[in-house]
Amino acid sequence: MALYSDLIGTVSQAAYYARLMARHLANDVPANTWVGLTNIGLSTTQYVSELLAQLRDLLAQTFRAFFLEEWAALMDEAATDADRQAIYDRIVVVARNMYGITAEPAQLQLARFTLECVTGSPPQTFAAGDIVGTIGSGLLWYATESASLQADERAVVLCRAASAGSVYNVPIGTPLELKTALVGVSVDNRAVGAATLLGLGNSGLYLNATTFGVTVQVVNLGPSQPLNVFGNLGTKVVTISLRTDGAGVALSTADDVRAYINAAPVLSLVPQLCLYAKNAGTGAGIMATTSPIPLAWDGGYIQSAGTDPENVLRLKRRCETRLDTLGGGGGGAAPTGAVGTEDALVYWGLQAPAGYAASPVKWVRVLSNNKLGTMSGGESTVILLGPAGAVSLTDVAAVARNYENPKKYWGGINVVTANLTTIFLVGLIHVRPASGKSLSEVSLAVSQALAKFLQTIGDEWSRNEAPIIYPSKIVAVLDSADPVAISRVELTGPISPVVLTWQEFPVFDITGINYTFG
Amino acid sequence: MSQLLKRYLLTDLDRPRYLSGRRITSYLRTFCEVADEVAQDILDARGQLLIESASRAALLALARNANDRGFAREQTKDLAAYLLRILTEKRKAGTEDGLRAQFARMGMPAIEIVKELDLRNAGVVNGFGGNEGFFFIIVRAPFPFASLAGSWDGGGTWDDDAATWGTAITPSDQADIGDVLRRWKPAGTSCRFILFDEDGTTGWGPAGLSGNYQELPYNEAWEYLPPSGVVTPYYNVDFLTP
Repeated sequence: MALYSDLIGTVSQAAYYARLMARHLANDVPANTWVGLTNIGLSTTQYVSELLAQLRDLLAQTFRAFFLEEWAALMDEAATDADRQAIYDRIVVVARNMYGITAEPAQLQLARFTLECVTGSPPQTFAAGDIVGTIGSGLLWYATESASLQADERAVVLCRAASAGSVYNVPIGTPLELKTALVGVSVDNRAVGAATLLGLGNSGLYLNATTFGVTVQVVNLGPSQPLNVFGNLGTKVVTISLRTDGAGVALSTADDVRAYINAAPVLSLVPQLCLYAKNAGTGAGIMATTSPIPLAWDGGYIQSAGTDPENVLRLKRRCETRLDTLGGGGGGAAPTGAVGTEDALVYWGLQAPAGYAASPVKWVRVLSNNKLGTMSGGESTVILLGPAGAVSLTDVAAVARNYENPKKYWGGINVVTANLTTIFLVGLIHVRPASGKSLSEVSLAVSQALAKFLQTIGDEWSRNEAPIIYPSKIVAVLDSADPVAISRVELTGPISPVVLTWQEFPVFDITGINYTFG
Repeated sequence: MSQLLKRYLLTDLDRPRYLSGRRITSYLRTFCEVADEVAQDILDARGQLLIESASRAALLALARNANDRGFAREQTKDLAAYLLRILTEKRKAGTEDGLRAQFARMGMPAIEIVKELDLRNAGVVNGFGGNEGFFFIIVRAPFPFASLAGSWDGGGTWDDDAATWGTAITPSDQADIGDVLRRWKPAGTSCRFILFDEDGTTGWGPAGLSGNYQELPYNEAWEYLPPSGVVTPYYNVDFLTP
């Protein structure tokens, strides 16, 4: 009788061939006389042994898919992309049927790109559907909205990635070009705030901040004032002073203000604070005065991140924590109490918030008796890590709502973003010349091994294990990146264990890793 | 062993004459017999996926499927019975009943959970420094440790991987207890220490702890702070001393 440990393993074609030949002899089949390679008995036995090995492999893969702890290894062992996809599909079915959890599909990135029109250029229109891309034949984005540009003006345009995936989350400063050529217009992915609505309907404007901490106010300074917009770099306040008639009645429409802001010279200090204004409606309405309104700022250009299909380790974590959400002692038909274990809070943190197609969170860590890093009785701190590191304030607020209505925790709760901390790896990796691998191939394998290691760290992080990264473990990861090609690893940094603070998640900088033959 | 394919192909299924001779039948029998090994593996796989027929290794994996686990001292039949009522058990997650059930699985059916609120209600002044959610556990007999010799020179050696200061509470037991606390206590609460009652005298009151006991401190993982990863003790000895 085959047990668990037997069934998760495979049986090779050679093993089945040996069994078949032994059985042939036991059944008085003259297999020992089959000496020619073309012997029909010999060749069909070889064929059947391969068939049985394939069947047994399918059984093992199917069996292992029912056990969460086998998922990551199953994916790693896939020989081809097609195999990997087939295994992933099988895992997704198990997640849906055993846990009622649907794997999150890959998401299209939505980016805020900044267009800039040089001095002397004619008026230009960037139309919805126009294309932005990386230099050469790389990534492409399609504009989801149009923008008109005058000379010396800038515009912020939302562009959607041509296909789903995290590869579109390119770093700030990545060279971009307009694939739809416009004379004198350039494009970049500088950090710019998400559009913030000022006013309503036809009297409203969408404003994009240039930097952190900007607020905008609309004022009426009394009778017979001209329209004026000016910034204060000290307070980071942009003041829109409306044009008024002799009775002090405001006359400036939203479109008047939009045109004024977009054309504002540097000396007005407006461009340094507010990059772009766009009508929320027709722009024909008179703007109303407001007290200062903060403009959104997340320090990036990504409106919503592109994501790959849900990683199996993350999917596994969601599946295994599903049952913990039953907790609270209700039982039977009684409602559960407002308590949750740390694992239950991990589950709710990984759930896509209401209104989201996919969760903005990659990993969740829950700290008990902790308020933002310090001991605090009766409080929990939930830390969220996004695909690109930090999670925006908007997304944090959305995920925080996962824990309410009904309340799913005991005491107080604090939901915050994680911060990335860079661990600089310094060392020399020796590569065997006889391996036939180039240094760049080994370098790629090392990058992939470290990326996988970060997934493992994420899984441990979400189990609230003491987040310490040991140099010996880093050496092991580097060494196992290509155990055949890599003969040894000399790691000179870090030399002591890296202990992460409560809010930190690691990212590796491998520019200090060098490679040599021998 | 499965006879499924052999019986079907060689007995039940009509074969043409040229596939019915003695030698060809022997040849086909070989394939059927080895194919029946695969068929048996399929039947065994089904058995390993079902709690009632799974081996211990499969039961442990099935427990991990439910974000749970088994314990070295837990008998296989008890683990299977536990997994069969896993939904009921999981409803206890985050409750005192849940912690009691898990300590019972480890062989400690009689525990007392003392929360900061209990201290307040009993007249303890500033118990646990007023940290709501702090608690400690008293483990009373019976427990599975053969020896609770709590004194120096009690017969054991210091940290010889089998005993610590003479007690038979192993590092594995300590790790199991820590894991149970992390999995089953409500988020926002923190167990600060566990007392093992040596002779039925362990108690607590406004004056602090009393009686004969051994003590195991416990800290949240986040308390292992940089740069060294060493924890700073905080109410890990008793509820009156930070």
